[in-house]
Amino acid sequence: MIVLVLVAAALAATEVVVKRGDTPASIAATWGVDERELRERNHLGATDVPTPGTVLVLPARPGERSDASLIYAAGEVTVRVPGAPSAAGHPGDKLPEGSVVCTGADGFATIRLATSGAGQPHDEIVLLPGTCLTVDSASAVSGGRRAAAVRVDTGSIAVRDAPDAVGEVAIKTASGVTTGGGGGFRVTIEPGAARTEAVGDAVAVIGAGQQVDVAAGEGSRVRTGEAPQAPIKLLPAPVLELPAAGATLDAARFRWGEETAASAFRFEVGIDPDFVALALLALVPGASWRPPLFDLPQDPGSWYWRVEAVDGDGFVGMPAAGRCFEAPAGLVPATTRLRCRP
Amino acid sequence: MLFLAALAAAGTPYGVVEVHGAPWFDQLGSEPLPVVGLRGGLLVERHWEPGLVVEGGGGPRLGGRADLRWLHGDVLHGKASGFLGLTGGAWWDGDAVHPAGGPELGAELPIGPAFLHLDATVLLGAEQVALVGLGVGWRKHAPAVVPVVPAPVAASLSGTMVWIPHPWCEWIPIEEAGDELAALPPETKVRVVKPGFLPTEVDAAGAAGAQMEPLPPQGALTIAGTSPDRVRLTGQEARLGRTGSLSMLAGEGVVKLHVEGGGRRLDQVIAVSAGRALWVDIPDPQPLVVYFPVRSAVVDPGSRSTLKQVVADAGDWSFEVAGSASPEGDVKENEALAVARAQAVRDVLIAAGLPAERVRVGASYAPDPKLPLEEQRMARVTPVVTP
Repeated sequence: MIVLVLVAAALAATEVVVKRGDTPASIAATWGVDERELRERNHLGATDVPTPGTVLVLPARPGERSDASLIYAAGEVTVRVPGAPSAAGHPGDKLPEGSVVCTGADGFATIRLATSGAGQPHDEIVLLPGTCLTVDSASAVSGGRRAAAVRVDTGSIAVRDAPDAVGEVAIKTASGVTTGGGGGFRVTIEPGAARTEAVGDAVAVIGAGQQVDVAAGEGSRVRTGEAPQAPIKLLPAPVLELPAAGATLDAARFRWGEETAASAFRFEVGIDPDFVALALLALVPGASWRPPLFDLPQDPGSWYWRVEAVDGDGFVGMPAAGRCFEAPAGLVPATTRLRCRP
Repeated sequence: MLFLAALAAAGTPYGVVEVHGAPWFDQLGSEPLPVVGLRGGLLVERHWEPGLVVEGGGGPRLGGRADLRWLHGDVLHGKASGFLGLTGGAWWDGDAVHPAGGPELGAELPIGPAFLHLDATVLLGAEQVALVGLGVGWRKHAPAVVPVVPAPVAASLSGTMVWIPHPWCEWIPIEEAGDELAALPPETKVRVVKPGFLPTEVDAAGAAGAQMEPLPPQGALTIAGTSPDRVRLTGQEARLGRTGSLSMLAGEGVVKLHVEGGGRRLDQVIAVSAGRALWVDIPDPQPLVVYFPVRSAVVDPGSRSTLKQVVADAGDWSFEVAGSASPEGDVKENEALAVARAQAVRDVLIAAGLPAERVRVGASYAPDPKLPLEEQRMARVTPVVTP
């Protein structure tokens, strides 16, 4: 049984999304596979050229790995691995292809895909509350080139920056596909549509066989059955004002620069400076926030906050650089409390 | 060799050995004499490499020296690098021993675990000597970067995460972080967190065995108001400090919070969860408005009762009272009426027990014409922080 599982993992399918200009020959060359096998595996005739957005399965090769895993979970997070019932997700859970990860209304999770090696580029996907995704393909293929594909059914995800990575990570939705090489983008499921915001690098948004290139700092929405809309500019990152960097948070009172075009602001708290591990997410109407109750995990004793402006069409803008704040003295023993770094 | 042994004992594991041959010039432009040498060194902090060199050859020539090189490249991971160095020692020419020292300049080109080596050294002393060396060496490298195959998660380690700093910048389950931790300088501080345990910061070399203290079943609570507020938590009196906040660890369960000050009294029930930090915001006290009949500065009995309650709930706050009048009648009379209304309210507050130095009459203000006339005849009592 164990042998069968290992063989299945080793031969797991790797998916790539066809973009404008791709042909079976160019894809085969890029991925180092045989074009004839690629066509056979995907039922393509000798002269067929797939349209943008088509998902092709690469011929499986021994040695390919599937090593997605859950690296952070807070609040309600469930994991359903193929052949097993749903269970609460914990950091370290392995996610073979076909695994479904969901966050509840208060849940945050981060999964790691397509790791090609320690210290090498890899992808992390942050699931916001109310999100469900399926890991379709998480393989690192020849030479660290990755072909990660995830299907998002509900909610909102953010793909962390991976500027040095080779290959693509694709987010599939019922409305289209967003694919990018350098990560740093968000995809949100809306009724009958999917919204993409490119934050760190350019992405391609594909729907109904049409592709729209979206540069960093732009967003696009694709409605089911339609071509993606032309890119629009995202609102700039707000300037964080209070509390100051490294300040002790004696009162949960936050302030940042006004943005006249903003309809609201998204306020985030993470337990790390890259916001891989999120602890709080809130939509705030104005350029300050003074919540009656402000609830965070007690550890590690210092946190990072940032804000993004949301425009009138729902696009979430560029994030401000995270700013650290600390717990007041006495909440965490001084010997173990983690301080903000200068 | 004692020097090298001492460095090795200090925990610097990345050594280098090289053999070189070199033409030796007693003077620049003189006939070259062949010499061969052996050098041993240890890489410290990735870029600094102290070493010892012995050389001998034609002439006869025999020398020994120590050197210190700075290599700019990442030789720890097998990258090519140039280097600059300083060396000093002595050489013997068959007749006498000559102390000498000077600069080194060179480069090394990796070939697997070995490397080709080229350098030029000038030894300055009573006799000027130059060496141009070409050699081969072997250098111990940091562990190769290999794909991580996640090991099964041991139950005892489940959920333990380690923050790996630049260039990784990520949280990794500790059981998968062996290669990353090994590639960091051993003294690099890394954060380790685990649900139910206090976080800790340890040297990278000791992360896997980090001792973590279990979290007590309590949460953290911060009450944030304004410094004069008086706070009672589950029956116990507490004062907000200079920062206007009070922080404490609280056992898991329900906490009853009572706040007094600035003329207001608030009661709130707070649920404290283990492992959570909760900030509770106390709203700022709001101004109180006292209304007057037309052409009157007499506080009615109902307002007197309200003002007495304000004093009872004043805490350590002070108050500023400012009056206004509706626009009917003479302007000067109205200005006097506004001041009289403020003064009348101040008198009531003092009569109710508020120290006189904690209430002052502020400048009257023009009534808001958008308000009905009866609402323009008033005095406003605003809580202010006692200076």
